Amino acid sequence: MALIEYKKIAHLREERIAELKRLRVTGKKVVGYFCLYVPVEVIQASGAVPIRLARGDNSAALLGERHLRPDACPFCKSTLGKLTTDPLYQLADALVFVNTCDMMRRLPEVVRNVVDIPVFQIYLPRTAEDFPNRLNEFLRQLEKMMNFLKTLTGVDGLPRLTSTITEYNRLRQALKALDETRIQEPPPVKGSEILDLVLLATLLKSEDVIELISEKMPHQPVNSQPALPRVLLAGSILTEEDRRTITLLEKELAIVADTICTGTRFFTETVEVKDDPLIALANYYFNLIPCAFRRPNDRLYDFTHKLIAERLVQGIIYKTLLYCDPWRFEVQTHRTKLQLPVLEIDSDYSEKNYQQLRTRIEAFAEMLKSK
Amino acid sequence: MRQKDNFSYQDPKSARITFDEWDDLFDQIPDNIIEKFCYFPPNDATWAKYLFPPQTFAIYGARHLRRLKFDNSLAALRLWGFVNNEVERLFRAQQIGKKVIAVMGDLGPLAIIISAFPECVPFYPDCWWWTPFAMESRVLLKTAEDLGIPEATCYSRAALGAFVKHSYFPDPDLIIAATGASCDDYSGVQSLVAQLTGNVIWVETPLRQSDDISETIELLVSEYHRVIKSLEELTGIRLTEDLLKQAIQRANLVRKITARLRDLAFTHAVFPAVEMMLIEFGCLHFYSDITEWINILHHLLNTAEHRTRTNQAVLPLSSLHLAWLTPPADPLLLCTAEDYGARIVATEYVINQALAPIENSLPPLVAIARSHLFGSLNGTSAERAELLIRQSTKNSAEGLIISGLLGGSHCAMESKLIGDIVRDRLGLPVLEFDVAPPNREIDRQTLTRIEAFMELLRSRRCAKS
Repeated sequence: MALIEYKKIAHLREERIAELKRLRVTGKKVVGYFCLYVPVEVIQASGAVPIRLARGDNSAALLGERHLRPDACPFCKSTLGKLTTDPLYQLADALVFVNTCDMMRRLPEVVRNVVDIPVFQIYLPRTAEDFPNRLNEFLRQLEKMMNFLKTLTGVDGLPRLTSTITEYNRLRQALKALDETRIQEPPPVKGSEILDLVLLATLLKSEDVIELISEKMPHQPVNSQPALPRVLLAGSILTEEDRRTITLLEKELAIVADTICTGTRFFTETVEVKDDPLIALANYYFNLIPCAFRRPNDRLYDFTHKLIAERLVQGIIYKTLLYCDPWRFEVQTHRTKLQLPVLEIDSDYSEKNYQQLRTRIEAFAEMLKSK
Repeated sequence: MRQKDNFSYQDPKSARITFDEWDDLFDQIPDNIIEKFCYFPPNDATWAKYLFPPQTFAIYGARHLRRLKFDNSLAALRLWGFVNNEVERLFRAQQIGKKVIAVMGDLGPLAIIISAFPECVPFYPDCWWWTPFAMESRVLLKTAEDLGIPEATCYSRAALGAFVKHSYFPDPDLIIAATGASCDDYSGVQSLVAQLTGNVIWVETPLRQSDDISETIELLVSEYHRVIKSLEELTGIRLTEDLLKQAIQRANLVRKITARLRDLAFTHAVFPAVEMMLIEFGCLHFYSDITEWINILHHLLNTAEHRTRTNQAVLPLSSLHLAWLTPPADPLLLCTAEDYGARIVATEYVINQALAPIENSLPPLVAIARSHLFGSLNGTSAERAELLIRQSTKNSAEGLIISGLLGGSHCAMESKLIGDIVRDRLGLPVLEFDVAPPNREIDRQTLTRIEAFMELLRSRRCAKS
């Protein structure tokens, strides 16, 4: 039995889109963002509704090829396609980007040719050592973002920032508590459910997601699935549409941990506010468990090691997007540093290889079982 | 700027010549001239000589030279000898007690800081990206692939292969890796090099944003201070402001001569495109020996000015005028475009930041940071397009060639954008293709496309006249 039926999740999304439409009529601004490194707290405190635009599919990617070469990141291409076709994307009154990888860094310039809404790009230093000048520069970026949002909404976000941080901390803690149940054998929560919830958490109101989690928090194992090989999921961003691949994986494997930006990395840590909430946010986001693009990214491996040890992981599913250099360059390092079998899945959102993928997953599961 | 040459040898009338023709011509160069040119000057040691015909370097592995065409001047021969001798020069540097510092990904400014340390030799492993083409060998690329780099990425992955092989440059005394406003491919290469060597200083290269840049400059300066501290620890030498200013002065001289050479090449066709690309890339790291590089640039400039005065264009001035975006890893492409009747009059090889003079009136590190921040890769694609538009307008470019790389992160995002801007603003036809993997010759498809593009440009010119 699923923790939350997928139909219900789809329904919640639809309801939320309808609600956002109503809110926009009342003058509320919706701000779309694309990356884990965007401080959602700032958006919300500034009186706007943050929604993470994490959808990706092949038809939208093909539309994006009107503006980009075919060898551009499928998520970037898909984003361009969706900006003109997806009802959720079309709700956005402004967009916030981060210069995460090279392709996302350059995407705003192309987006400006596609839609006529304000766009803000946060410059996050790609080097991850937290030297004071790097942190200062990132803090300055957050101040600029706050000004950008103030112009958009007319609201100064600073007074409400601490309470918003607290709200998001509660959300992260709730998700984390749920996620930690995956340590059990069999895990009471599926990996796909965690991914669903994180995507919901970046779309719905925090309190609604917290309530949903507390209602559904398993006090005893609810998934009476047979013991499956325990795997960790790593790689590029997973979108709502990747659910199909995840479901396919879960027929043979138990996803007991992940290091995905639309998964565990969203909630693993909370923001610690001492004095200035904006400084606290700058510290938090600068020092997040790093995405593969940051240099050095050793902490990503430390985190992965910890999950592997805690959750008795037997293998790694490494799912990347075609031409996603930051993650594709790390495949071999995952193999050598983590010393576990790795199944690498490269995708451009097309589903033409679905049956081949099924065979590969089955073979990988067999191999793990026989070990 | 002008330095008088004192060579008892007179160049033949300017021309592009083949590999074999250089062999014949080399016989006519007196021995005393051959022995005159040494790297790490002042130095007359036998091991420091580098003036050899292309044949010598082809024997040692640079097979592609056999297919290129070369400028027939002594200055150009010196340029080729110096460029091809870099591997030997780097090993020799370490043997004679110099510190060899690898600079990765910053495209310009860090090499200036490093060269301020008297016994430090900066070099760019990035520039090994065309080695697989020069050698007509995929060994370096394959080695990088074995370490996990996907096949569809920038050829700069050859740098990782070179680190693994230990025979293309010595193991550096220090590796400085810059990342930030750079491409993902090379950032990935750097990350794997860091794992391989365990000895990397990471430097942030920030985005250039349109608002006040003073704090970004501050960030860069603080990054440079860390680099300097490491270099001081490595060498035991304290970097003074005077040393830094002298380094800037030398770099500015390189940039000034390069700018003049570019101007003469674009307007008077004094050198072919491959030689000009080598000259531009010299601004990055001076081919690991700034003193001799400056001597060579003076020699090239004298040749260029002489040719200008005596109307000795190396290519017909009436050739089709081309702008070129992104340096082709395969130099044969530039030769081919010239063989088909074009000459290059505008370039955006992603290293324009290394061509602009560094301001003298500012504190040295601030001045270097400013020059860094105005790099082609730090800004927007529209700004790169503007660079091309300005040059193309000035030099009457008739078409734009964009040579990209399959899977290269910025090519995938920028090529179309820049091509569209140039097409819209100047009405220029644009030809875009990806540089195929190293081979003995250009693939037929690309050749056909270049040929057809030239036909198009020719017919447009006819229609205009």
